[in-house]
Amino acid sequence: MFRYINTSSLPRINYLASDYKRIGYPVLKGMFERGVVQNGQSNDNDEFLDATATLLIKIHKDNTILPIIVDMIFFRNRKGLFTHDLIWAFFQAREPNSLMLINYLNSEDVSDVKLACKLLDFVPSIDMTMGKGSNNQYVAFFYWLNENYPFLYFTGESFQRTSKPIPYIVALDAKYLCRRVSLYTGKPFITYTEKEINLLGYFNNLDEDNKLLLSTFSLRIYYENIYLWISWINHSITKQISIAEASLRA
Amino acid sequence: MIIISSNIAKVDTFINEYKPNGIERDIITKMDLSKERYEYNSLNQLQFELKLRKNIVIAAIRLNEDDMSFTTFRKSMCNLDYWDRTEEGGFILKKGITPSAAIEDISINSSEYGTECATAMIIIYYQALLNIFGEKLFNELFPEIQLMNWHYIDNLLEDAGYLEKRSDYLPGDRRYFYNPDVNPVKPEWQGENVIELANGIYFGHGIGIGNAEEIISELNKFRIEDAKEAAYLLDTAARLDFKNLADIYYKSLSTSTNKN
Repeated sequence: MFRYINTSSLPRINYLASDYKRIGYPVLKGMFERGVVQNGQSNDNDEFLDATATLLIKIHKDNTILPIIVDMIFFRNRKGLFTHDLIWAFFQAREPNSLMLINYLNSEDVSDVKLACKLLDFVPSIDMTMGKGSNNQYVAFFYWLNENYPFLYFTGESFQRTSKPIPYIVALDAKYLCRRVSLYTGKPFITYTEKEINLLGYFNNLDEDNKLLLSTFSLRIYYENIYLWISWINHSITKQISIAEASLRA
Repeated sequence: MIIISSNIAKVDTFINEYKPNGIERDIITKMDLSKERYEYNSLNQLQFELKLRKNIVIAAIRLNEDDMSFTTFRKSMCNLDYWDRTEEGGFILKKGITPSAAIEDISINSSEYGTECATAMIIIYYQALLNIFGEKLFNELFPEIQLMNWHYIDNLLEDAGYLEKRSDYLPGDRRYFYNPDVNPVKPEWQGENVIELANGIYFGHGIGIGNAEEIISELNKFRIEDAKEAAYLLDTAARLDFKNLADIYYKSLSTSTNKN
């Protein structure tokens, strides 16, 4: 038999856990704003702060507090304090653009850079082995987010589940067809046509490298020249690959 | 299918070494019938994996019977004679304490410990490895231990941090039940890390031993009001790098034999 120690020894936390639906947004926001100034000063206070932040984000969909959340996370990290729940709350906002708030890749503080790299490790351009970030990493990250935003979907992965969570995945099949997807399901808002399903039949049998190649190339020419894109997408998958490869070599 | 030294293994030649209805036989049978190729350089490597998987299961059952509490990181507890507790809620091996003694203490003085489910998985792995490696090798391999979910995982165990889709799920696998509609004020119940025991039974610290329905039923108690989605078992598993650990083990045995 296991012994479960009630994680919410604070009456305030128990109150939030049981009555959060009846606590109005202004009241909750007020609690959060008053608590922020004491961030990192006591474990009990931080616990309450994290709970109010999570409720604001998950129940009230208040993403205006995300910049403060990020600063709180990095402040606590520098002091070696508990950040686990706050990091989870941040990603639960399900807002890929909020990743831009993790602009600590260029920080002078090594612990900032390490944490930023850890949080953004799922982004291809981020190199966790770099002890101190460079401007190039941040710029590359910006371009990656900008390019892939319409095709990202939220996985729910967290540090409880895995050592390297991938909170957002690029739906390469949708990117290949230049079709925006739902952040919640990874599926397009309008269902695929028969022709698109047929194309995906070939696409999905490719290895990851070729999927990446075709999806990246497809998006690029889609915006450069739609007629060129239409011509290219109507080629066989083999021809599409050779054209894409040739274009990258050029 | 089991492949040993590039040859398809005839399991009849070694399966009888194991008890009927035992975990090892269950694993061998599953591997043999699978379309997946389970490849090993030697029979020893396979036998090591079987042994380690069995010990993982035993360690999980033992932890279930111990008095270690389920707590969040904020409320985590440890025996301060053996561990230092960090501000993050993890445990660092105290200076001057042998790793094996500290890991053993988690069972001996289990009531002095409290942590969450992911850290419990790491503890189980260390206990299983200690049982197989013995103190000397264990202390050499893991001179510094920090316990806090997957954050400070030793390189030798890092594969346990990654969940991947598998063709089969075997006793000793780490699995994960995801609880998407978790109560926001109870993030510790966002999911449950479990060890697959056998026959669709799992151990998760904080819930105990049960089948999938039972684990899901417990997790569902910690959802938001008007929750729309039930907890569910992910179609993935994490595994230790059994072959690498086997090689280390046998190399150590060989070194000891040569010295003697």
